Amino acid sequence: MFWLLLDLGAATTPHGDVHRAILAITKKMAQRPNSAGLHLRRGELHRIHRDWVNAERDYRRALKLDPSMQVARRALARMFLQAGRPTDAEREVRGFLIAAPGDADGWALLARALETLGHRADATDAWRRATTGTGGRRADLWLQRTRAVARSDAAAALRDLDVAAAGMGRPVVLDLEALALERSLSRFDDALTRVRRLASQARRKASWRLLEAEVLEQAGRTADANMVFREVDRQLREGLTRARRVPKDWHTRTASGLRRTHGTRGDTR
Amino acid sequence: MNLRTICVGFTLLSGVLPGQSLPAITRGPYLQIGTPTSIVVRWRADPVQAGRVWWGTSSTSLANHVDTTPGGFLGIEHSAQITGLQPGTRYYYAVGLTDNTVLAGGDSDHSFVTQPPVGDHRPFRAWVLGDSGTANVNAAAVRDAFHDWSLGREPDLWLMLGDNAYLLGSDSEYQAAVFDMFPKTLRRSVLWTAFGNHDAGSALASTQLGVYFELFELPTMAEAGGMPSGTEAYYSFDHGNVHFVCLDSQGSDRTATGPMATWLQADLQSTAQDWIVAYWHHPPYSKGSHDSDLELELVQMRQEILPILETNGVDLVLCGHSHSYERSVLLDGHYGDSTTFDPATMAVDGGNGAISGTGGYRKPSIGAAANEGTVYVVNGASGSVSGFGLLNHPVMVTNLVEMGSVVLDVNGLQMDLRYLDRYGGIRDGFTLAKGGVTPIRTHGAFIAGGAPWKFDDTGTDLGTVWRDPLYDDSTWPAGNPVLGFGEPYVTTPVSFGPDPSNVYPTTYFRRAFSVDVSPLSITKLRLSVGYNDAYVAYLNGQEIARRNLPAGSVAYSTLAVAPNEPTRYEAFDITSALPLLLQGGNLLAVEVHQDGPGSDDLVFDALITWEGADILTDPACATGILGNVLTVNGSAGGIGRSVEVTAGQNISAAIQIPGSLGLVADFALFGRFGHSSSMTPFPLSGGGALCFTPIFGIADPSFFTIAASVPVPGTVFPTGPAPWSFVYPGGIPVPGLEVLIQPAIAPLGSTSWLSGNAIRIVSVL
Repeated sequence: MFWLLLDLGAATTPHGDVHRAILAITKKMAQRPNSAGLHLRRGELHRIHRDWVNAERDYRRALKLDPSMQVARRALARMFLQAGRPTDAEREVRGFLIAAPGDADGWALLARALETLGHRADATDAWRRATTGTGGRRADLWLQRTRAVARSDAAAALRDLDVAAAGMGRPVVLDLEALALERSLSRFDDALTRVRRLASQARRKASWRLLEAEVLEQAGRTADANMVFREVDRQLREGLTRARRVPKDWHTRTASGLRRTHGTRGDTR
Repeated sequence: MNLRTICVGFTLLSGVLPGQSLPAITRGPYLQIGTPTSIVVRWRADPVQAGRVWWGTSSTSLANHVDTTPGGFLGIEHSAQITGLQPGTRYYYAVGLTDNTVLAGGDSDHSFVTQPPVGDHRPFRAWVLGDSGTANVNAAAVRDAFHDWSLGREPDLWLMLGDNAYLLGSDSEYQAAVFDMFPKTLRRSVLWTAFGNHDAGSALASTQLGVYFELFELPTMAEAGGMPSGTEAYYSFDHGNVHFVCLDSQGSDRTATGPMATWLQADLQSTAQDWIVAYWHHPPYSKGSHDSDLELELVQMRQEILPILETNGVDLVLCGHSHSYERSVLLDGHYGDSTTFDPATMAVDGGNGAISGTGGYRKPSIGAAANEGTVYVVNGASGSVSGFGLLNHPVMVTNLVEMGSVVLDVNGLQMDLRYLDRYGGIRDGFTLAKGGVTPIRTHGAFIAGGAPWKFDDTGTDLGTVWRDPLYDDSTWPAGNPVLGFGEPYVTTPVSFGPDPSNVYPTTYFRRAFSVDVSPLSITKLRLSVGYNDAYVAYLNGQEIARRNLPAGSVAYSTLAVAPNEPTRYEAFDITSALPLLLQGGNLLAVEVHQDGPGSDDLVFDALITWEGADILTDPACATGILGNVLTVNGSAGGIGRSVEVTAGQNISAAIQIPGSLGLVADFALFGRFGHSSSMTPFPLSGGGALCFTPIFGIADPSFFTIAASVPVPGTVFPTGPAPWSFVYPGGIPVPGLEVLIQPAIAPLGSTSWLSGNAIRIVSVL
């Protein structure tokens, strides 16, 4: 079952344009017409090329040649979902998950199919399955899961994120997602605690302090926000005198923040 | 495996009982996740037993230890994190078993230097390999060329850009392509790796499962700087004043809104480092064996990721994948396919970036300033080359189908990148300086490849007079290298005489060359020779190197002790010959000897190259500092003096302030301690006292300075007790310590020393 480890999409990404790659594989297939692997690879190329008919044909041929190659079934499900056929996608991926019940990508695929079909509760359950086991270490799946959950229960999504982040060494992408949720839930104290923790990890604080000022402003703490905007403004100006520049939008955000919070500074660039 | 025990403060006994199988290291040790205060030591041992690492600052006294529990997929991987280390310090280590059986180490070959403090400006070198995983003679040739050229200097860190083990990145392939190929570097320098498409044959980035993720321990929680990525597939770390960012172009979401891009943005915006270097596998620009106009990974990295990198001030991008070497101009804002490149708007500097060419690249700001330009390098020929592809991407200034590796030297606010080919020759290079710093030469060639040699192939015994610089060689013919006979790559044939069964035993070669830098500023002088079968080289009449010949006097008829078939230019450290080198005209003379009368070939070419930590070349500096102004320990002359010192020795220095200087500058003496000849920075912490206070809060204790504002021209500086002096504090068990003292100037009010003779210091921001 080692093939389950393989990142099918990436492993079959063509070198050269899709047409050229399809031709090359077709040429190889002339010598090895019963190679399930070649059919699977060509199916992926057809899928990338959005040639759904030929993609399905190749995937099914691969499965027929090697019924143990269930990853072709997952690929087929992905193709169906991409082609706007979520019911077919659900059917195929459920079949795949019987053979590979621990496959995180399979569960994620099922969750997306269920979401498309409007079965949100089932989708949430599928996301939960996707983020257990090996999927529990994947920030991309956690982000998708919490976004799905947040549509109906942002607080639950936030709890999920914090559990995930703690288990993964607090990747900054999960913290940023949690920060957005906290702001949407008006949990400003929590958001400020989080952004200050992030700032403490950074050697360059300005962007995090700027974010802190924006959270303070959103929380209605205008005077505090203004003070932090001013501090950021000072840091950016000092940086300029030492030939240290920052992205332009930092200046823009600082200047507009100062204006909104009754600062006296104009454009800090 | 040679089992030994070492003294770690008590007597060690072997724990192996009669009849028991002997434990053995089957992989490593190798170093991972280095920081200023910690490092991870990995190894694999069989059979399974608990492991132990010992370490200390002397190879004979490894007084500390930490134990490990074997883990990993097979349960035989050991990983030990050593903490509580001092920055920039050499440590020795050994690995073994908890019963104190040592399996490897406890010698000078098992040591590492911890990273300098974050933000530190001291020079360091990174070695960069791309697609090196062929595990064959080609990869070995690239490796050997680097080690030979480096003259024993290990890189401070090294990077692998993916496709580190062909064909599928399996465990056995990694054993051959990495662990058996680079054992010495693995145990002495921290390796940082990127994930390539062939590595993905046995590993999956999204779950961090499989061989690649089993073998390498990479930061996920900002253990070595940066912001936490939560994955080993992409990560960042700091080394000195550089922030390194490793991306995953193979198995992670490459979109601008994906987790990797989100992390990247946060990471880049959080670094305060002077430099940012990013690396990954698939190049955003290439017309080598892969085409960046056509292939998904390459296109996405360019379109989705590059805008984030450039907006956040990345200086250098290193990639592999195409089995060639391609290097761009200083570039910004080119995200379309190659036909959309507009040099007028996208080339920040369209030159070649070489000081000896169109000039070094300059970026006005320090740190992560947006859109001031990035240099892109495809370095995917460390194991093979592929001739496919037109190698005509319009952003590229250099395209080579030649195996090699990248050498990256960072020295404060200047970065020098060179491409070293498998034969030991430098094939490309550029300099990049930031913050208004004027790029200065830190290396160069006195004898470069390609220029003609004069030679005498008449079969005449010329005795010794031909070595003399004043010898009249005007009647000698001249020819471009390679010179010789019997090999298809020879450019200029030389005669072997009338009888092929009785060839001339010796052929003479001469080359006049000019030195345009102060020899006192040179820290490393290298002679690289391709030869068949033996030679003696003379610099200005004095022997400086001989190979493959017996000791003692060498006559016209002396034969090589053995045949030699060259596979590359063999590099020899001739730094000790520096006193022979003259500023201005010099002469290298070489006699090449055969191994016998029946020899059917002869090959010869030679190069002389130099390295200098800080070389005075800037005309603006040259006008400020005059020669013969400095006196150190009573010896005057030149613009810098280097003296050997011993503990307790008094060193005195004084400068006659040039009358022509005028009241335009601050003036300073800069000093630097180092090991003899190499001038490796050497910290003075740990004892002693200097009779002055460093200026500008310079963090590096290997530097010292004494300075004054607006000295009076025509007087001696420093004023006060004359001469100015200090006592080397001693207490450091390194023989042959050396101090280099040089003057420098800075415009009034500036914190940048223009001259940079000894050290170019920019204030710590």
